[in-house]
Amino acid sequence: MSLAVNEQELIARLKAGDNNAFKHLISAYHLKLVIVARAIVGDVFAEDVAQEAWASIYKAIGHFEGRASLSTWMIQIVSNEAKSRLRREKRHSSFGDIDEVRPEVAAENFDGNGHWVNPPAHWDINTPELMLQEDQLRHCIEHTLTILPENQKAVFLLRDVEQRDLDDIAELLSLSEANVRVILHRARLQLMKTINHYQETGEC
Amino acid sequence: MLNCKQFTDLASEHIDHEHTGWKRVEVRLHLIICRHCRRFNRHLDRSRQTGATIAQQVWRSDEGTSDLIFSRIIAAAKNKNDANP
Ligand SMILES: [Zn+2]
Repeated sequence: MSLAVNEQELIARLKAGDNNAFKHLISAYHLKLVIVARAIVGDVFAEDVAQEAWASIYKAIGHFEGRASLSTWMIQIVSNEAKSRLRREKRHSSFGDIDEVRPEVAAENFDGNGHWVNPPAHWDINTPELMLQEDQLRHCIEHTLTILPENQKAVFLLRDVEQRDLDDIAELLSLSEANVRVILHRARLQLMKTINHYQETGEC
Repeated sequence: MLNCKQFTDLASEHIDHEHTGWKRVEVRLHLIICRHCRRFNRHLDRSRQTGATIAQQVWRSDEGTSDLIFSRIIAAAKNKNDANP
């Protein structure tokens, strides 16, 4: 997490009313707050909810006690704002719900006994470090992240970027823990599929 | 015994250390005997790590956006103060 290194220093500057520090925080976190808001309240209200969350964060930062990390605290605020907007609009959240339960890896990859007939192929570019050096692959992954369904984006963000526990994520997004697991698995599989395809073809 | 198809559905939970008891034993035994699923598991874990690193880099806003959001916060706070002096 980019904030973690200098988090104490950043918090001190924020509490002292340093506006540039606050803008830095917005740059680092606005899109993430929007992603969380979208998964709860939908696209139409998400930007608005994130703006309200920033106003609350700005107002409360002076009293931030540091019991949780700054990002945990901000994500909790945007989740609360989104849920209260949902109630005000008298809408029922269906954004996180899972449409259908289906096998996650295509059935044709397995025989009747559930053993591989198309086992995973070798990857030449084998480690995250090597993958990150490959511009075209990086571009393919960025594209995949962009087109992930909103609930997958939010769950992937909260689990694999922010490293939150699954039960916290379920609570933040008003989902069951079982749904969070399935959604997370789908997001990761989608990324793996993109990387697989690139390893085989050199294209997205 | 767990088969490969079942393992692929459980792989994310395995990565997150979500399994306990017999389920954990079954998953580990399967990984010992099955090199295909070991590779699947490795690929999924590395995809997750690489994706997270890139997300951390690209899920950010530019300076223009943060200036705009900041100016709206200040404007809203000012409106409130004007309404309730
Ligand atoms: Zn297997």
